[in-house]
This record gives sequence, C-alpha cells and structure tokens, in this order.
Amino acid sequence: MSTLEYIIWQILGYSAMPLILLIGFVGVSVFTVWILSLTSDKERS
Amino acid sequence: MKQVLIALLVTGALYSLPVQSTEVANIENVNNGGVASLRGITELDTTRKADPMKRVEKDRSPIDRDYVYQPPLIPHQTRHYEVSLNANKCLSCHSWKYAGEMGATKISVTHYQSREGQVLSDVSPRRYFCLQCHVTQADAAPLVENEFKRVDSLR
Amino acid sequence: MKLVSNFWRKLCKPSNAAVGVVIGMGFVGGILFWGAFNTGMEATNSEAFCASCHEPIVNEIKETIHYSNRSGVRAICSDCHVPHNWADKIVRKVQASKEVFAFVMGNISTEEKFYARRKHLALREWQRMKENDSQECRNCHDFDFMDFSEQGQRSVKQHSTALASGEKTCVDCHKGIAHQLPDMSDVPGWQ
Repeated sequence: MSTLEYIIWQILGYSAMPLILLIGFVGVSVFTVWILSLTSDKERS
Repeated sequence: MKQVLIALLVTGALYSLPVQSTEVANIENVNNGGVASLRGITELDTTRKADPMKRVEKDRSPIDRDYVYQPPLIPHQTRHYEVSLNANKCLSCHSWKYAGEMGATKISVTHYQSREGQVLSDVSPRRYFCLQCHVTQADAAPLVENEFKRVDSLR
Repeated sequence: MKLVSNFWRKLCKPSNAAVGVVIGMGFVGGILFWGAFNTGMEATNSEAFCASCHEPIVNEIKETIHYSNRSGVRAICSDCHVPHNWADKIVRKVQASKEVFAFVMGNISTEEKFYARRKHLALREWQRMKENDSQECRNCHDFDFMDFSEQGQRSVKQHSTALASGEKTCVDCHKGIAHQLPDMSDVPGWQ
C-alpha cells in the first residue's frame, strides 16, 4: 500500500468513528423524541 | 439345420445361466481363508479400523546414513510445508542460497544436474519434489524383520 | 427541511416527561445502539461472511494447524486478518469498503480470477502484517511467554536471534501458515 493510500484510509477510518457515534446519537434521539411526542400533552405542544 | 442350431443355442444359454449365478455367488464370498497380511486378517469387504497415526519426530540432529547414496532422512516435522508449483518450503532452508544462513544441510550437487549430468543453474525439476526420496521419521516398530547391515565403511 | 427544524426545536425544548424517563430512554437507546452496532460488526467478522467471497481460501485452512489440532483451539479468518484493537478495527473495516467495491466489480468472482490475483492480495496482507509487527499473531502468540526449552532446535535458533532482536517479525518466515501460497519465486526467503 502506498503512503498516500495509507494516509487516505487513516483519515477516512478515524473520521468514521465520530460519524458512527453521531449517527447513533441522532438515531436514539429521533426515537426518544418520537416516543415522548406520543405521550406529551397535545395542547401544550 | 437352422432350427437345431437355435435349439442348441437356447439350451446352452439356459444351462449357462445357473453357472453364471454360482460364479457371482463365489465372488461375493470374500472369506480370505484366515490369511494374515500387513492389513491384518480383515476380510476384503470390511474396512478395518485405521491404526493410530505415528508421531513424527519433532526436531533432532541429522540421522546417520546406512549406505552410500542414501537420500538423507528428514530429522524434523514437515507438516504443512508446501512443495508445489508455487512454492517449495524445503528450499527456503536447504537450497544453496539459504543453507549457510539457516544452518541447514545443503542439498547435494546432484540436485542441480539434469538427467544427462549437465549442471543447471537451479534445482532440477526432477529433483524438486523432496518427499519423493527424503522422508520424515517416526519412532515405530518395524513391520517386518530386517537384517540389513551397514556397509563396512559406514559401520 | 421542515422535519429537521421541527426535530431540532423538540430537542431544544424541555420535555414534560420526567427527567428519569428521558435519561432512562437515552441509556437504554444507547445500549441498544451500541449492541446492534457491535453485533453488526461481529457479523462481518464471521467465517461464513468471509467465505461468501473468499470460499477457496476458507477451505484451505482446514488442513492446517490453526484449524485442526490436538487441543481444539482454533483461529478464524478475522483473528488474523482484522485488528483486535477497536480503533484499528474501524480503520480496517472502513478500508474494507474498497474490497466491497472489488466484490461488486467481480474482481475475484471465479476461482480462476482469484488465483490470478492471489499474489497481489497476499503481498498486500504480508506488507500489512510487517508494518504492524505481526500484531495479529502476537494477540495469541506472545513472545514474552515463549518457552524456548519446549521449542525445537530450529525454532529456538530463529526465535532467540532474529525475532528477539526485532530484526524480523513473525510473518517474515511464517508465510502461508493458514493458506496455500501464491507464486513465491521473487519473495525474499523463498527459492
């Protein structure tokens, strides 16, 4: 593997980690907000 | 005349039928008459339980030869040492290129000769498959009695 | 767009659900997400998954010591080919997107294509192992705990010199231990 290829994969790999966590956070929050919106008072929202 | 011939053929065929069937019966009879061989006294149609595998000696110093021109025995394990079109694991230590560095026995000059005795630059294809002549050793009892004695010069 | 801004407004607004409920949902959601993510990643580490493209090689391991041996401990593809350390594993998995692309292009879709490309693939893997000092071997075979008195003469000779000094690493000698080899004619240490 050439150095350039190596650097590209390192950058892509390490940038994938926060992306995974962010996607997880968004996924969980979307689900939570949806559940909470089902139980919230309709007049107040 | 023709009718007689046909009648003869038909009767002949009828007589030969029972003969053929007894022959088949004879083939099915596989009793070996109690004759023992290296395979034991197992009858031909049964499969005998295999003997346990012998353990190949792991690693030891070279084994002395018993006669002149004997292919040296392999004093170590060779499990999964690939010898194929692509690779020859034996030569990674025993070739002239690596023998010194690896402290291995060099293959003899005969391995670099063609059938006509002409010297080649690399191992001759007819000497490439090491295990054809050189074999690993296991500590096992001889199958038959052996009275072989070494030649005087090697004794 | 409206959906996103709506969602953002909801995220910023206090909920009238109890704090415990919100925290609990976040906690459980977090566990579920992480579990699902790791299960998915482990699925791509399974032997069956590897075999779906690399069938011929997965069969080759069966006669080697890493598959059949006296004590029944065995290594599967990912034990040697995927880093165990989490960060390195993610980098390798992202890199594998290139291999998914090769799969879609059908680079090794038949055995003939695979054998033609085998040397290239093997050289890449040996280079990777050399660069990380054969880390995947060392995950199980720790040099510090090797007992030379239990090893054969030949092993001791190599391990106590070249390996101990760090001059060589495992894969320099132990090539093709779980596979058949490609054409080795110009590989150092081979005829």
